[in-house]
Amino acid sequence: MSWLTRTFTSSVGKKFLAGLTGLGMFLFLIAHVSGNMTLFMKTKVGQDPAFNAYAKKLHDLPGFALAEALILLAFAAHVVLVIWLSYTNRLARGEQRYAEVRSKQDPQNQLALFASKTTLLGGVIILVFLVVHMADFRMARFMDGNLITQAKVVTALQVPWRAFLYAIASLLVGWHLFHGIQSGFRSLGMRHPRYMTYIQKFGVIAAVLIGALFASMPIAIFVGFITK
Amino acid sequence: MSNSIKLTLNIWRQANRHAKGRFETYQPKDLSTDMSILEMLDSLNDEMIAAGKEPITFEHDCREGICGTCGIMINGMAHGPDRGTTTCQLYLRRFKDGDTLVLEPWRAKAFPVIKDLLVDRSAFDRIQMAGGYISVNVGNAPEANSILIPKDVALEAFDAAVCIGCGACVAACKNASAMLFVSAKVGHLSLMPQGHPERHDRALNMIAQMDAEGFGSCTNTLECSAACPKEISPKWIQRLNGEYIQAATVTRR
Ligand code: HEM
Ligand code: SF4
Ligand code: FES
Repeated sequence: MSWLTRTFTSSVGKKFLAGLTGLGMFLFLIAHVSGNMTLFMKTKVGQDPAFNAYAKKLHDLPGFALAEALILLAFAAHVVLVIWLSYTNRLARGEQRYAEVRSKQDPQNQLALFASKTTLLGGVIILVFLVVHMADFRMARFMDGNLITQAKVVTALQVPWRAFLYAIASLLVGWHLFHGIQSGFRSLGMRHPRYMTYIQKFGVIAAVLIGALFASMPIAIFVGFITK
Repeated sequence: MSNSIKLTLNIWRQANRHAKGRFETYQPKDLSTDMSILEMLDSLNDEMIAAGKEPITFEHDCREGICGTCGIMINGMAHGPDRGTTTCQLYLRRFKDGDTLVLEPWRAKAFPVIKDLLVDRSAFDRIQMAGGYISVNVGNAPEANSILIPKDVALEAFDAAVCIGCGACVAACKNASAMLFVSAKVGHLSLMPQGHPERHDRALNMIAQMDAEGFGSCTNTLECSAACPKEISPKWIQRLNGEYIQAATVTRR
């Protein structure tokens, strides 16, 4: 085996890549949610919504196609790696499971513990959501080359089931990152207790913000706060 | 006797590695709150031997929290409910009269049950043999102070060196990961100057052996550290992650 396959098929190597791709996607999400916040800008009569102008600028950026490809690659790698890891982790317990399992962690860690135990479940729901999300907003550009507009976003998210799905998926992304951000930094080998406490705090704040801001859009559209 | 206590025990019985195990219920006589969990099992075994029954097999040696052999899952918690405690240091006074205790062996594919509560932890030995040592020439011991080590570095290394190899981290981890153990072993040696020459090979080889034994990977759930009788910090796992990637990218082989 070459050092590359040996390194990145080992448990620690796989975790490193899962963390790197996860944190890469986290950076993308920051950009994604910031840009989409233009939906909240008031449109003056007779003017194009700020969101449309943002979409145009974004797609005109040099290297946009490359960035899109990189995100897709990171996503695919993340999913393959974590499913592979989760599968071997399940095997590692052996056939006979415990009759009883209790945590010895402090009560204040129990929320984080629950988050870490539900990352796979949350991730799989996010995966399903992303199929819908791509069909809703990415396929159109693929089919007719037209950029998405505020009108299209609002029309799509006025549909109750879609608004509900988008809001729930947004909160799940936040939940995933609640564990994911600090876990990712740990997997990359960030070690010093001196800055680990900051990473933990940053992770929690960033996760809550990402979840809440993404969820705010379908909710605002559904209640009629954001209009075409 | 004022300090007597009555407990119901659900204990995992398994005749050998391949047999199907099951729980059996026991109500031992004459238990005292001053007994440790191991003394409770001794007393129950005396009763069973007197009655002509097969005693319960469990592993133990030092009975003072330093050998790492006595691990038992007690009510779903490795080494029982207390932090920083081994099974042999856990006393019945910790429980209430009439309580039921569930005793199970460590469960991991890499730790097969040999009999009852006794598991085979030789996977840890093989991980150690893959790199958990420093190479020195035999002969006269070198002068102890010829390599100076700052006090804080020595203390830091000691925090990891106290690992007794009990396997509670594996038992408590939802992925049966051995990362806390391996990180403690790699960590203390890589901090000391004597451990530096073999530093990269050590990280690579011990991780490779850990994977080959069938342990899981770390999801930073941190249950290992809470279960560890020596309270090894999860920061050692982060350190090992960094050490491994460094070794994989800069090692000369
Ligand atoms: C919006 C896209 C996603 C982002 C931003 C994201 C982010 C992250 C991050 C930062 C981590 C921490 C990595 C580590 O511990 O090394 C992580 C872990 C993980 N992710 Fe994702 N992820 C995403 C999508 C998914 C999907 C679709 C799945 C499911 C198929 C998934 C399943 C997991 C699992 C199982 C872990 C391991 C958790 C652990 O180590 O405890 N993720 N994710
Ligand atoms: S790290 Fe702690 S729990 Fe794991 S083997 Fe060492 S002493 Fe036992
Ligand atoms: S018997 Fe040695 S640590 Fe418990």
